Amino acid sequence: MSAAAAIVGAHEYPARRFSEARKGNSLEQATDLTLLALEDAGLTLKDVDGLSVRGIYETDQFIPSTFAEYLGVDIGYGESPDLGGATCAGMVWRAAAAIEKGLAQVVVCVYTGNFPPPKEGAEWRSFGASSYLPGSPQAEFEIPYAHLGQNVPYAFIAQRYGHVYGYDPRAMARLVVQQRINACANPEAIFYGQPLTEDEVLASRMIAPPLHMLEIVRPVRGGAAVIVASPEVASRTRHRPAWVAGYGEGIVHKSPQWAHDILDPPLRRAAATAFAMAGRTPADMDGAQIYDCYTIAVLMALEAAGFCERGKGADLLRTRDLTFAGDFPLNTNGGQLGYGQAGGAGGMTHVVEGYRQIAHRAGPRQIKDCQTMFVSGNGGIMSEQVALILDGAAS
Amino acid sequence: MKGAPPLITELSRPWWDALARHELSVQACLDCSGWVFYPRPFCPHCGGRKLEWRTVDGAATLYTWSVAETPVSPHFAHLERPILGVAELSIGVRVPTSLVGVAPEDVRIGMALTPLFDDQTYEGVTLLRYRPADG
Repeated sequence: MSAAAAIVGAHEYPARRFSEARKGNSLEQATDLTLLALEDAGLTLKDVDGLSVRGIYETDQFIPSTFAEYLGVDIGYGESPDLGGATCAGMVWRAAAAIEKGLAQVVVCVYTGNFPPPKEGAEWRSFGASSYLPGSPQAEFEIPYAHLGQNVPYAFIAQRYGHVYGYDPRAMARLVVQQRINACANPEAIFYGQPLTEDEVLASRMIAPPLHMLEIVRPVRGGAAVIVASPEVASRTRHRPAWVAGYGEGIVHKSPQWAHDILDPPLRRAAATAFAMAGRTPADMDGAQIYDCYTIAVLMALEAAGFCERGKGADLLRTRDLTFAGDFPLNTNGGQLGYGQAGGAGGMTHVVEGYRQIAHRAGPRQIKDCQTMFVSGNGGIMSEQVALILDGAAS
Repeated sequence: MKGAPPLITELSRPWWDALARHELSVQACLDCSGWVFYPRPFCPHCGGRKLEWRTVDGAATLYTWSVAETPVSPHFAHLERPILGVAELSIGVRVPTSLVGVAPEDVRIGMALTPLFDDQTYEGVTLLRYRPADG
């Protein structure tokens, strides 16, 4: 079948240290990113009739209308998806579906790298991504036992994986090192110019066994936007479009403590849906941009998406060349492990790089003749997951 | 601000009342016989709405675990390297917990666990912690 929408332009701020954070409130940053991404596509604000926006901290509600009013656009589609780290990939497929149904022609998907200002009395913030509001299952059954944040829950998955399939710390370290090689080909990455060895990864501080500090993303400031457009618009934009050929989503739990099978993430369903829609298989992909908040998240995603059998992910990480020049190009801009994680905008890093590879705009780290790309998003602790298949051809 | 006590709902009060008696009580579905935890007003296995609290054996095995080497929240910064885990009861229900009386290097997934009813951490509430069965 023929794809109904394509990514036609993008802009991503370079990863910066918190001390070098960009000035300006979230609405100003979202506007700046929007205008830069439109300019990249060769479009203007006049073309925009859809908005999908996150990272706006001047209001808790009415975010799409606040942003539409600020931009001065009249839109047929607006939303602010809530999918954690899967939000950005989720924005892209929702935009594509809205375009296919005729609600819009040009949808701006933008996530600022701003962080919410500290709120008076918002004590729950210190519980990471867990809710300590009355009635929340986390507030009753998890937080009182110090089950909170992301480190230990991801370690729960890794420990169980090791028990069932065996755990190879060096394969995980190799993943970090190979992504760092990619980051060293990306001047915008926080770790540009800082190569790493497997021994250094394994010698870094243990955060939650078996996870070391260098297996976990470094928080940075950033932000990014992509433009999703109809075939008609895509035909008159200036770069090669990345067609959204397939997509899928999976959600089954908030906390992995409640998973039926902690080793069977919802990305399995998301990827199966996406590949079926695109009429493609994992073997057809020229590369993958996989959400990499933790090394274990990549291992799980490779298996769940079908790039290898369940339990065989470490073999893939050990034996394939994962760099942009390799036989399994993975997170070619460094991924978030090499680029840095700009909060919720971290998920856009994978979308933007997937687009750039298909558009043949990835510069020194360009995958030769790249036609197809798998992109994943992962929110919470493998809680909310999205898969995208991008294709250089519309059908 | 040490710790964060459970925000108990009326629905799950029988779970906490049982822990205070140093027992476990879990909802069972009268339609499909499935066990329901955490407590809910319906059965997520079959959608049934007829549930009954039943006393169950607290013995468990360890499903997974890790150590919070770095505290995420200032509320738990006073804990030294807490061993956090998920215990699986013999009825198949899994409960978030923490392990006591064991060193991290001796923890093994699948190890047999015995309940340790903790009446001390939070005033008026009993937590379900676990220790090794043979320890």
